[in-house]
Amino acid sequence: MSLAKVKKERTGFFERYASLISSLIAIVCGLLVALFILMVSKPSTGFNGFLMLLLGGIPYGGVKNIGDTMYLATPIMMTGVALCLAFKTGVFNIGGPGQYIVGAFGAVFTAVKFGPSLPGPLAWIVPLLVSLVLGALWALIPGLLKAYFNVNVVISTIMFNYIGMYYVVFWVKSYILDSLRGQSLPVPAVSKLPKWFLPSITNNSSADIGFFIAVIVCILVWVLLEKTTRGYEMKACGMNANATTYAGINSKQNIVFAILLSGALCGLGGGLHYLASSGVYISLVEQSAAEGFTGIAIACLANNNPIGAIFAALYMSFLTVGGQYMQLFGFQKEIVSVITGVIIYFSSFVLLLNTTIARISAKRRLKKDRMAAAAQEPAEEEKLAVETTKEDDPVQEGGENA
Amino acid sequence: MTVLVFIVRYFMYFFIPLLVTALGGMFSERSGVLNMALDSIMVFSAMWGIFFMNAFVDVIPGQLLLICSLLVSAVTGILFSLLLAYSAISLKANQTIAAMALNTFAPAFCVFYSRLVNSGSEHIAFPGSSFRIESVPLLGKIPVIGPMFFQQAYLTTYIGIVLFIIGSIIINKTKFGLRMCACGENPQAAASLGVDVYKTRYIAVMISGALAGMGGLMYILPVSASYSCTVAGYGYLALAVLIFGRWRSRPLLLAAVFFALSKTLASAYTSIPFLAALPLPDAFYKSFPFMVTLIALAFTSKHSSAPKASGQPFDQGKR
Repeated sequence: MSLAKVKKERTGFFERYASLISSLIAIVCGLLVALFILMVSKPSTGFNGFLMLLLGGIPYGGVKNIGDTMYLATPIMMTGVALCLAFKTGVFNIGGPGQYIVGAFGAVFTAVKFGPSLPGPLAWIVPLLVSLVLGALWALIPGLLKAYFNVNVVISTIMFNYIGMYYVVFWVKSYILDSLRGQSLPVPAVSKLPKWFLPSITNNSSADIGFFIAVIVCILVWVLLEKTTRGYEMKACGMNANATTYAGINSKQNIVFAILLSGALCGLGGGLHYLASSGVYISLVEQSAAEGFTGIAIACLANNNPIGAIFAALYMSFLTVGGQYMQLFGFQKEIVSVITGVIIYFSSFVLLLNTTIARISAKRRLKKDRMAAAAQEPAEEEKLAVETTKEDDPVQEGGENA
Repeated sequence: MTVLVFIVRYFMYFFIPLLVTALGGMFSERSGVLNMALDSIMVFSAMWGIFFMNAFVDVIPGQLLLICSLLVSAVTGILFSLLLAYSAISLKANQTIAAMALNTFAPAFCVFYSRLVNSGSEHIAFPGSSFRIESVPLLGKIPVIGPMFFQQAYLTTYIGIVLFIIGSIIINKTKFGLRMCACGENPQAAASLGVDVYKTRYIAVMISGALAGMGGLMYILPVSASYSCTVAGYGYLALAVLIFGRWRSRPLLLAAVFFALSKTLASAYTSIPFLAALPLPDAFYKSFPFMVTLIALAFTSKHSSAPKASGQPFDQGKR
């Protein structure tokens, strides 16, 4: 009894911040690997290049870089939060690239065809809604296949990435082709996302209200997962679909809903990016949308926490902005993707290591407590009680952190 | 006739790397490690194979250079797959995430590195056509089959077929192969009989790395004249072949034939008169293999024949 109280008061540093610490360790490891690669490849400018990456190019770009960071964070925040949701609910949605680009096509298509005839802000709200719906549609079939035919989501969503990639190129060619430039037609000015006050405070950067929309969505997803019954059911289905079915929850419905929502958010990410005021066009190159895969990195870094996704996305885009300035030192901007890969790699197991450390430290502390208790009251029952708590606690500890 | 010969040749170019890489995936998955990193292994090791080829083009003569380059690709594939093996087996990390990390890392690293050493361009030219065998002695003269399989062929085609035969014998007939499959089905049971699950899984992932590495070079060699840090999603396609082939070697062969065939159709349908006449978009042909996989998976996944422990880290203490 007394021990349980002691434990609550003295949860160790590692236990309380396990996921944050592991993310930071992963980031530091990623940066160290980058530094190593830079120093090996060009010893003369390596360190300066690394510094530029670390500072996000702010010494050159100033506040404009902060705005650009917000702008670049928008799409990856959306795919990141979509994947946080998917991973938390046990649906391994690797279909981000497909859902993202299909959503982007939906938004651009609607904006080009119907944007000018829609009144007021509807001109950009309607395309965004279309992107949301199309993203969800692209996730619907993998979801149904998973729920009713037990098809592995990872594989089916990868298949849909390719199908989406080929068809979007085809659709752009057929419906909204700018044949002069070989890309999609420009989005009409009325359908572009408003910039509000952002250009004036960030020195005409590309930032627009898409950033705020993305942040709000992240918060909403957090509320859904943590504060609603539906979110609880979804998470429970992710942990053990059989157990939830036994408890009377419709697990199939929840799985389909989770992947639909995840796809919708990816699609919205595509919509937000391609309606941005700075002017982005869907190219005819058959290549998976990188933002979809960056979402995986963000979800890992955020440890599947929707609020964490906001910061993880900001950090990643900060690196991307910094990477653009590294070309001044003769380095390719791909180094950012290298770092991303290394960060995901480390974050895939650092949390596990951390949990182990936390378990060991908890064990050690219990041992100390037991010795202290034994020194105070050498009664036989007390010792026994301590034994049992010690047996139980590490298991609980692991369960909480995993 | 000439169209058919052309299509068969093209088919072989697609078929062999797919077969070899899927075989690699089979090794890894039958031992219980989900290898989603096949794609990045292909990209990464193909690059080193190409670098080696370019560096030694004047030193090592003819086909020997090709074999050496394949070996270099295999070795780099093994080294790269160790990254996956270490996190998936020793550190018990989530195997899909670790593999996706490698898939993010490898193409970016290859672009970064090849631009650095190749004066700013990621397209590395290589003397691929010099390895083409105009006509295999004797066999090339067989009337129909000769032009299809033994003219304008690459040594990699035959190496790939030999690798597949050896690989399936190892998996199905040898002590190691059967133990490996036990590790993928029920690692605890295997461990209780004295099989070192960790070691077996490490070896299996390394074999898969070697095969995928060679598969990467085999893909690049016949279809293009320069390496541009991508294998066009072939690693993922190989995974689909593996699943479609139900993780068994003979169905795997059929699945690879099917995928390569649809891939060939996608890139050559314009030269087949009756297909070119159909009012279908090219996106349809390109996505055809993927759509068929989905349909096939829908019918076969209910009673999955996937290795039961695939994707699950082995924990000695768990039962």
